[in-house]
Amino acid sequence: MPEVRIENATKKYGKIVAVENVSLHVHDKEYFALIGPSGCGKTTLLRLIAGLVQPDEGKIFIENELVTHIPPEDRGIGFVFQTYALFPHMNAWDNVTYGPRVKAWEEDKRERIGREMLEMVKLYERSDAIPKELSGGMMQRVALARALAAGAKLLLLDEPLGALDAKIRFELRYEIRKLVKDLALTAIHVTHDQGEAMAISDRIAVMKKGKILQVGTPQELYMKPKHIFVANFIGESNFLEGYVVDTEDKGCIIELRGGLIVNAADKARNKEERVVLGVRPETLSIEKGHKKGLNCLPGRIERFRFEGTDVRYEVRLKNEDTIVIIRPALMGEWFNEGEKVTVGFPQEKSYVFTYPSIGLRSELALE
Amino acid sequence: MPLSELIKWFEKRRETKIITIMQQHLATTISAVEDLERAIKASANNDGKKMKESIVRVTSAEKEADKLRRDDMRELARGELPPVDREDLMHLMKRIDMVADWSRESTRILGVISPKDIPDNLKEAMVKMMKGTRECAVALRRCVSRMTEKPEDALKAADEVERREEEVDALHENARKQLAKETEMKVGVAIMLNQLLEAIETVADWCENVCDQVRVIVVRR
Repeated sequence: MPEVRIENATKKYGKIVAVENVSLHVHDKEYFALIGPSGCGKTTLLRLIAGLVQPDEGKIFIENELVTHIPPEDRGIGFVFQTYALFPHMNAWDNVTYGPRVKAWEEDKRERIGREMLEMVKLYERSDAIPKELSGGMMQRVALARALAAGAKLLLLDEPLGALDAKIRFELRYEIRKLVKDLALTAIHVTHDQGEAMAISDRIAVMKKGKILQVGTPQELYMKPKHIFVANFIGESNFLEGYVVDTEDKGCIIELRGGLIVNAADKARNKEERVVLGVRPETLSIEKGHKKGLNCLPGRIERFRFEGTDVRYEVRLKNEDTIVIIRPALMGEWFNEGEKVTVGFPQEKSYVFTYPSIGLRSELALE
Repeated sequence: MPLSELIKWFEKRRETKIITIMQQHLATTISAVEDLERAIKASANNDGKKMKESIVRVTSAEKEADKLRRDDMRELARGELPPVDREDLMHLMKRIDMVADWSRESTRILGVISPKDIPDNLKEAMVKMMKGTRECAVALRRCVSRMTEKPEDALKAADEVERREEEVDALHENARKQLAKETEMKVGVAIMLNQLLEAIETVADWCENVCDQVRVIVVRR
């Protein structure tokens, strides 16, 4: 079955290390996403799996077979590019049946596969259209059908929705997932759009500078980020700096800049450690006036923005740090700029990271 | 009040990278000052371990402040602003950095003095001075933050910084008097303690210097 296993793969381009000692296991029939900022190595990793580039070190297994030195055409994969890469002089039918023709399948089989694939992507009626007569979404559907027509069980998608406008992108991402699940394929989908990855993937690997920082389900990455970069890249986070004043059974007590004291649920911290407390804007509560209590932070609304389904507040805390709060627009009262408020959060909804040795800004940097 | 061109530029570009980095630079500097205060308090409580751990945090914050200053200078050098305004901002950043530098310098001196060798009255004087210096730094952050948003409030905060710096001056003078009266202290410790008091006051002095630069930026026409 098409499971993919990568063991200690490294790929360098001159002095640039594109992929560094990466190990990864993608399960059979899994929809797996590789995400990270531009230049993080996600496309290189996908091309290593496809065989389009060779690793300098490490091994790649597909269906438990070592494929490191097997050419791409013999790996049983389908590859979908951001730019579709359709043959511009061939119509949709010829593009889709190109693989079966090259593999010299019998005509009956070619006809059946071509029809099935084009029907599957709802473009059979446009079989005669050449790529320039199709929209971006249609071209990507043809590219998808072509990738699958040669019988691939492993689908590799490199930013497949990157060139499409938002509405089409939104629709097509669910179509691709449904297709992959209906056909019981394994898919590895590269994207820099965390929303897209969260919406369609069974599991996600977050990459930065050639390394995988965390692999997990969308929920795990969102609720329990193990790395500060992941907390920032997946969703949105507020980061407040401080140090651990004390540790206790339930977690630790942190003194933030300006002497604000908060409790966090992290039990693995050391006393006196310099830390960063992360809190999602959606988990923060907001109340009028200055209240006292556990994890109550006094502040003043600095900016208010109505964003349709949500309202977004920027609150300047008493210690001059700014914190972002997102609340559903149709629930609860709204607050005005300049109003005194108390921001609160449950201690189990926060996460604590060791202060990055290279500095917080550098650690969170996307470039 | 007529606003300078630079302030108008801030108003238009509050979200720009330069401002963001400058705010982070200042926040990190404040962390350094707060940890310096923790180190001083720990020394006053004869808690050498806590003192050392606080010193480690000051060192780390000062290093990061340095890096942020370099990053910000690089952004400024990309040349969106006229040279005069760019120079004003560079002076501001350098002065902010001096607050972090002198916090680090204070911990270097503090680290070589054994807490047990400091007489109680001088410990108390040192803690009071440091409290005033930290308050000075907190007011400074308010001053610089407001500079980009509410320049009038920034000037008020600058006055507060100046007032607090004067209080630190007075506390320093008092601490010096007490040091001069000491007869039991080791000579080496007395010299180092004098240097430490000077260094703490220099932190407050640089807070005031930053505010002077904020005034220049706000009122320049």
